[in-house]
This record gives sequence, structure tokens and C-alpha cells, in this order.
Amino acid sequence: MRKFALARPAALAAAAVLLAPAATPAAAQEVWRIGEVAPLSGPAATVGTRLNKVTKMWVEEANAKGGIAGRKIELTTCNDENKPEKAVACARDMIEKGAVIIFGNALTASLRAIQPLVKSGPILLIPSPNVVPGADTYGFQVSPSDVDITEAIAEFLKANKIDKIGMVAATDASGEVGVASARKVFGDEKIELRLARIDLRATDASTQLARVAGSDIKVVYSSYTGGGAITVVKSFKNLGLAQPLIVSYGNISDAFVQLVKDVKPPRLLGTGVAGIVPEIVKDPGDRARSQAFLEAYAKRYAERPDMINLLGKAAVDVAEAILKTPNPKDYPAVKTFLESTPIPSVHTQRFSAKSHVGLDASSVIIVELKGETWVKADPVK
Amino acid sequence: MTAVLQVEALDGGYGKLTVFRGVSLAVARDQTLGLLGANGAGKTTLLKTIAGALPSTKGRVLLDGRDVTRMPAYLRARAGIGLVPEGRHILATLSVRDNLALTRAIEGHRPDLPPFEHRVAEVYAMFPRLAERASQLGGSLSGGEQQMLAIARALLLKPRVLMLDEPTQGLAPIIVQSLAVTLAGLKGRFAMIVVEQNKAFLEQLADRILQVRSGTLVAADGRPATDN
Amino acid sequence: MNLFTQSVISGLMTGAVYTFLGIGLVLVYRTARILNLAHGETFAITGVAAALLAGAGLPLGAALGLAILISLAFATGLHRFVLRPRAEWPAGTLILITLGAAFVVRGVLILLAGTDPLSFPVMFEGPPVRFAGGAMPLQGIALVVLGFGVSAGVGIFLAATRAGKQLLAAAENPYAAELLGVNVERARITAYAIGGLLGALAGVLLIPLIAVDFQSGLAMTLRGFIAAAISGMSPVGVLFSGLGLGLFEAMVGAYLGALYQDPVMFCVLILVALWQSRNIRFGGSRRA
Repeated sequence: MRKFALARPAALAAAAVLLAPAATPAAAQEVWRIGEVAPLSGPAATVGTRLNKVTKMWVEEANAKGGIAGRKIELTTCNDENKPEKAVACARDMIEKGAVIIFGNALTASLRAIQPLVKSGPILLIPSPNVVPGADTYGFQVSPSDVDITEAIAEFLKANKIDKIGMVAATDASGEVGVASARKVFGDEKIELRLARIDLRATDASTQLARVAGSDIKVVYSSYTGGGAITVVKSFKNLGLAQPLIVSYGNISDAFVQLVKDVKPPRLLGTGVAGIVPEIVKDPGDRARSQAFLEAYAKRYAERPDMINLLGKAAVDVAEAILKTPNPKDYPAVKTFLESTPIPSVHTQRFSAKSHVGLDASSVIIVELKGETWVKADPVK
Repeated sequence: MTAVLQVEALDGGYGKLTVFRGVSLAVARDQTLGLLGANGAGKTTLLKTIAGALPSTKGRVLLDGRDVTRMPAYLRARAGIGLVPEGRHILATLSVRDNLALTRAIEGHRPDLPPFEHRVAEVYAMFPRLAERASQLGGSLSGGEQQMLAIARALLLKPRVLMLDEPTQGLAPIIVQSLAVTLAGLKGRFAMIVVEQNKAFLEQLADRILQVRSGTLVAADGRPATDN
Repeated sequence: MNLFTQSVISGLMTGAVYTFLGIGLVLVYRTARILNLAHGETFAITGVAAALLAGAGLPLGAALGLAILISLAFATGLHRFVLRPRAEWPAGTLILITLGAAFVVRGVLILLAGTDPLSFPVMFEGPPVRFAGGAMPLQGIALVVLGFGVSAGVGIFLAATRAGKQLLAAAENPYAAELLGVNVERARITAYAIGGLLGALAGVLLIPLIAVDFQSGLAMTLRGFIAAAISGMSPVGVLFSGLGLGLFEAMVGAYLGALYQDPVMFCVLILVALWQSRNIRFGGSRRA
């Protein structure tokens, strides 16, 4: 799929010619056309490629078994380069070609741009926690909301009798969402918030940390996702700060661990859904499904799956449930189905007629990096 | 006659456009050759080609009997072909002294080269104005001073042959006169080729004059030149 | 912890990066008259190569040395095999070719290393140096000292040595320089090599403090370009514009907030551009 981003017009034209003869019989056979909008290049590429790996794995497995409800899946992945205008062009094209489901495997700004296009379907599945689609839309978010994640942090702080937190957030749309949830949640919980913003291009985060990580602050939270998060972690270490640092769920990955293993703060914590540490998942069905996915992914790609992969799995499970309904193209019926039926996945998704967010704060845990694996976080003294 | 510079049946121009054709000439070590011709006759292109700044398409250029036809311009400069180009091409952002010092690129490539300071002292003696303005930027000099600097630079190359392209262009008559005196003083020290539209100036200076007409050389009387 | 001291430290480190990248751009622009948009790729190539080589088990020193050589080969190869054969093409087209080269590098880096960020260990290990309520990592000190030191060295090389002046002459008027015996081609390749070396050094020093990925190159080119443009493409001026930009960015980030960084920065850029064009606007020219 990466080739898509790199391909030159000539190569695309050649590909079109090669694909043309195959397209006609495929259309006659009836397939499920599924669209995927994901940043495969640009600053959010790590997110897009990780989600794309899960989507591809699902399509391969489903098609190997003869498809779903007798039809094979035809996946079109469109690289939005984390640009909203490009994401809109991608989604519009997919809708015109009759996509029955769109995976919104993109970042906040792109997803917000796509949302108005699916006012009357198809279903838009969203792994990002930052969007929180309204219940009157066809968007369904398979992750907890950013407010839920922040609530889990507040919960953790209260359990450890901590009433102040320092926070570093990026200046982009995701950063805005993080700041808004932090102001609301920590305000409600009477936790003092000390905040600094950081530019996405920054090569040093020491002034931000100097502002928010005074000696009275017991925990620092960086809501930064993507490559820039490493700058925060390294500056943290370079300043010799001793507090536990909580990083965003987006960084609970092997790649991140590899990058920070030599420059780890004394304690590195993170937010995540519980499925990343299956042993602590309470529901036996969820635990078994998480375990099974983690193993299948590791076998397929020879790398440890991370939080983003896990959310991608939730999205494909919901997609599969949709394709198994009597008429997946009857979007109002699908909407009603999703709002009334729990969908088993790595975490059972529970949408309702009032909320299109499938998970809540109870699915979020605070994890801690021990050695090279993430486990449930120890208390903070 | 032992020619320092010998040009044999040379063709040249810009890309596919041939500007001059079948040019042959020879200049002895103590001789001054004048080339007269109207604008666009191909004089400047010919000098640039001899200096190696433009490629030739046919023929040969020999310096002291050695074939330099395929040599790049900077190596020909180091070997002793000096060109004072049309428009002078002073480096405006470098000082007078730095303009002169650029010629030190030839050091180590020429035998019996006196130390740079000696060579500079010599040109300063010839052009005292340059010594006065040594630390001024090249771009701040007057037209006459720029011409002096351009000639001084070429002299520092210790040329075997010195070529001057329209040295009087844009200069006041009184300065043209002092330039003629200066160049007359250099006559006989090395071979010279002077390209001009100013016939009177050339007649003062040259041992013999050829005309350039639409890219070919003809004798002053209009007959085809059989220079060698 | 003292916010002001920390802002100065952060500003020095950021400024060193601006200067490192800026001076290479200025150098190539001044000698070859090309705005080399692939300049920042030397940073990315060095970083990715060093990370991959160190990851493959090579000792850090060897990995860094080899990575710098690869970057040098890229910088000089770009000139020798891509730009020089097209020397007669219009400058605008050549700039687009350098942009194309930057994208080719991106593609190659994705194929070699994927899209995830990479890094490698610092050369200068040890606890950060603390003074006046601030902390500075040893690697950061090396970045600042070498960044400004090497850039000042390049400025002195250009302004005060014979080879440096040949480089400047080759830039201003290659025809005149050739006629005076200067090997213009060698001057140009020297400029690309120095530029490549500086981009590589910036990578070696900065990347252990952050991370590198396939798209770091253009971001670095942009940084260098801002510093170079503010200096008016002057090899000495870029030292000051880089330092000023770094401190400015850190101070705005610390006291006004990072959200104001871009608006304030671009206002300054516009003001500087207006200031630099004052002669043109009033009909005069600074050049004789």
C-alpha cells in the first residue's frame, strides 16, 4: 500500500491498465467494496501504516475463507498524507464507487473533514479517540474517547493521592482535543493542571518541561502522539527529571520502546486499552479475543502488536459484524443494528442510540514499561 | 617564425550554431596581432574558444606547439593563455587585492614563477591607482580602473599570450589614450591579440591587422588571410 | 528550575541546528547558484544510515563515520551526476530537480527503514550539566559548540582563505574565475561536500536527542532556508540569524506559548524580507 504514496502518475496509469481486465469479472461477481483512508506518508504515517496492516490482515484472512456472506472483500486504501483536503477526496471517491464501509484510519483533522460526507451512509469506522461522532451520524468510534482516557488518568492520580499534574500537548488538532479533555476532567476532579504546548517541529522540549515539571509535580503527562513524542521523552531524560512520565496510547508500541530504551525516564507510563495486557482483562471472552489477536498479528508480521493495531482490530471486527447483517447497504438498518447489539471484539463494543463511542473509561488502563513489555502500572509514591 | 599560439582551421560557436569557421592564425612571441570587425562578426566567440571557455567543433589550438584543444579554460589559463574579457568581468564582491589574488591558482603549475608579492608589486607599479584602491571592492571601481584591474589580473597569470577583447569599450578618449600607452609598453614581452572596433587604436598598437567578417578571417585589404 | 535559563539553553541548541543547516544551503547557493532543496536529506540519510548500521551491530563510531560518508557521497553525487550535466537548464528547473531528489531519498528511506522513527545513542554520555537553574545534556553542549564553531569556521574559510575566496569567485562569476585559473568545478563540488558534511554532522549530533524518519529531510531544509533567507544568503550572517531564530523560538515558546511560535516567526520573516528589499522598493541598489 505504501507504493500508493510513492507512485508517480505514469506508474499509476500503468497499474490502471494492468488492473482493468480484472475489474470487470470482479464487479460481476459482486464483492464488498471497502474503503480505507489512512496516512501512509507524512507525519502521521506510523499511525496509518499500523492500522493498515490490521485491515490488510483481515481482508486476506476473510478472502482466504471465501469472503463474508459469500462475497469477497475488495479493499481500496487511499493515502490522505494527513491532509484533510486529501482525505475528503479519498472518501468522496470511495463513496462514488459504492464503498459499503469506510475505515477512517486517519487522524483527527482528516476524520472531521470526512464526517459530513457520510451523513446518509456508508458507515464510517473510527479508531481515533479524538472524534466522538454524534449519535445522529453514521460514524462509529471503536476506541474510548479522549475524555475517557483522561478520566482513567485522573482515576489513577486519585488512587495515588496526587492532586497536581504537568502536561505537554502538541499544537495540532489532536493537541487541542487533549487540552480540552484535560481542562474538563482534571477541573471536575479538582486536580491542578499545569500545561505547556509544543510545536510539532520542535527539536527540544526542555522549556515546556521546565514549565510543567516543577518539584511539586508528581506526574507528567505527554499527550503527544507520533515521532515528536520521542523528543519529549528524551528531553525529559536530559533534564534529569525523576517523576513518572505518562505517554499517549499512540506510543504503546515496540517501535517506541526500541527508540526510548536507552533514554527512558526512571518510570515510563502510558495510557491504553486493557487488551494490550490480556492477563488483566476481566471479561473472559474479551481476554481470549485479545490474546488470539496479539498472537495472530505477531505471527503474521513478526512484530509485537501495539495499541494502534488493537484499535484497528476493533474496527475490522465491527466491519465484519456489519457485513454479516442481512443488508449491509441498508445504512439506517445497520445503524440501528450497531446501536442495539454489542459487538464482541478485543473489547466488546457497546454503541447506543445516544452514543457512537463503543468503549468507555472502564476499558482504559494505565500501563508501565518494564524491561521491554508493557504491564499494569505500579502505584506512584 | 616560432609561433607561441597557433590556431588551425578552427570552427566554433554556441551549441549547434557555428559562429566562426576555418579560422587559422599564428602569433609569434614578440608579436601583436590586431583583429578588427563589426559587432557580431564572431571576434569575441573566437577569443573565448581560444581561451577554452567555449568548445571548438573542428580544428586545433596549439600553445608553444602543444595541443590544448581539449583543455578546460582554467588549465589553459594556468598554461599561459590570458584573456581580458569583454565587459571586464571584475568580481564585484571581492576586493581589488582579492581579485588579483585569485590568479594564485596558477602557482605550482608554472616553472620559474616569481613570488606572488613580487608579481603584484610589478602590476601595482604599472597601475598605481590599483595599489591605492587595493582594499576597495571591485564593484566600486570606475570603468577605467576596472579595465586596469582586468589587465592586471591577466598579467599576473604571466601569460605566454595575452588576448584583450574590446579593451577601449565604454572608456573616455583620454583613458583610451593612456591605455594605448600602457599596452604599447607591454609589446614584445609576450604575444598579444587585441580585438577592437576602434581601428585607430589598433593601428597604433598592432604589428599586423586582420579583419573578422561573418566568422572568417580576411586580410586588411579584403583578400582571404593566409596567416600561416 | 529556571525557565529563562532553560529557554536560553533550548534556544542555543535549536539555533545551532538552524545554523548548521543554513550555512550548507548558503554555501551551495553562493557557489553553484542553486537553492538545493535536497540539502536536508543529508541530515535524514546520515540519521537513518547511522541508526540502521548501529542497529546491525556496528560500533557507534564506525556507524557514524560510515553514515557521514554516505551522506557526503549523496551530496557530491547529486551535483556530479544530476545537476552538473544539466548546468545549462534554467535555475527554477534545477531547484525542482533538487526537490525531486529529496522525494527520491524519502522513498528510498521508506524502503530501507519503514515509516517509524529511528534513533541511535548519544556520543557524549553522562548526566546533564546544571547551571543557573537549567540543565543541558552533554550531547547538547557538543551540538552548540560544534554547530556554531564549525559554521564560524566555514565563514572564516570563505572570507579569509585563498580556497574560500576561489569558492566565492566561482559563485559570483564562474567565467571570470575560470579565466583566472580557478577550477570552478572543484570549487562547486567542494561546496556540496562541505554542505553535505555539515548536514551530516547536524544529524549525528541532533538525532540522538530527538529521532529521525524518512521525512525529516525537508523539515530540516526548511529550517536551514529560513535561517539562510534571513541572513540574506550570507555565510557569516547565517551564524547570527540561526542563533537569533533559535533563541527567539525558545523564548516565544516559553513565554507566549508554542501556539504563537509560527505567527510570530512568520511576521518576523516578512519584516526581514521588507527590510532587505528596502533598496529595491526605493529604486536604488546596494550593488554598484
